[in-house]
Amino acid sequence: MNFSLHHVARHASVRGEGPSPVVILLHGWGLYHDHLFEMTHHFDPRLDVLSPRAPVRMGPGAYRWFNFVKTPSDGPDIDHAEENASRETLIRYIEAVIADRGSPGVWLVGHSQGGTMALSVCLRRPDLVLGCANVNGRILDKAWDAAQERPVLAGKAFFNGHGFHNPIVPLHLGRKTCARIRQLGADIEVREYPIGHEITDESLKDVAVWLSTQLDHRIENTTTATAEC
Amino acid sequence: MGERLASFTVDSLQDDNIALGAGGLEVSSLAMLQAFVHLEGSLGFTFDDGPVANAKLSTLGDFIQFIEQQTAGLREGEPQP
Repeated sequence: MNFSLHHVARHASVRGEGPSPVVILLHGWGLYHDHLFEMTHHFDPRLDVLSPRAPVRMGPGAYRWFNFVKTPSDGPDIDHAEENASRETLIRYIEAVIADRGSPGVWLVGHSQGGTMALSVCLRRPDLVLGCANVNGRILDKAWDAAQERPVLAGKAFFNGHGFHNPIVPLHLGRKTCARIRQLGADIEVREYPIGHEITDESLKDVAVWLSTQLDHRIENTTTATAEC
Repeated sequence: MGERLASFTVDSLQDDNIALGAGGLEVSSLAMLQAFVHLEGSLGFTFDDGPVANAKLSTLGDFIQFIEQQTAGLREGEPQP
């Protein structure tokens, strides 16, 4: 299978019936696939973990989904053309993963602009996504405005973690993102941390626990549905 | 003044022990990245992600040694990775 993004992978060590659930880790600006992949040990052994590298190379070990310029208060001013191209590349990547694994959809976990990309995919192609965890990213106004017909996210699970002292994406943008996700009917678990823009062990562990709980719920629901049949 | 400043800069770059960051050359991480990109262009060489991302480059000497190690194949006329 040819994938539109270079990636590294960890296969599930605990396998159930059917395809293993897949989580895709999306790193932030100026990093590469190993950044989040190095913390894969936090994740449930039932998961296949994939960590793709963002498509725009800035230099060795440094890639981005889109360029941006910092602004004093309202979050980064971003290169929308680059964001649009990267989002379409990411969607093709996810489609290929789903086709390759035979999964009903994927879980997305993103940090910073990786989280922003994950949320953009949720708005554009919710059919590809089972749930999404975002740490210190946000829903872009343009992505929100472009979703003319509001996608229905009911039944999908979201986690949103944000730093109180985030100098890149201020806290109010994280809270605005949570409000928008709720507006689309999704369940969301919200955490705010006394951190800046980074992703910490604590926040990633919270994401991992949240994800394990979601997997348990899905197994329970499947079991119940089967019993009712 | 310009000559004195240039002389100071050149003198600083003679000292392998000078810190790349705070208290030394004050090179930001973005400037370091630009240095790698410049070297890639001038050497016709592509650095791998992992070694650069994980390199512990505290001083100018660390940086020079790292570049020499990574590009050793070039000097010996070996094919590039």
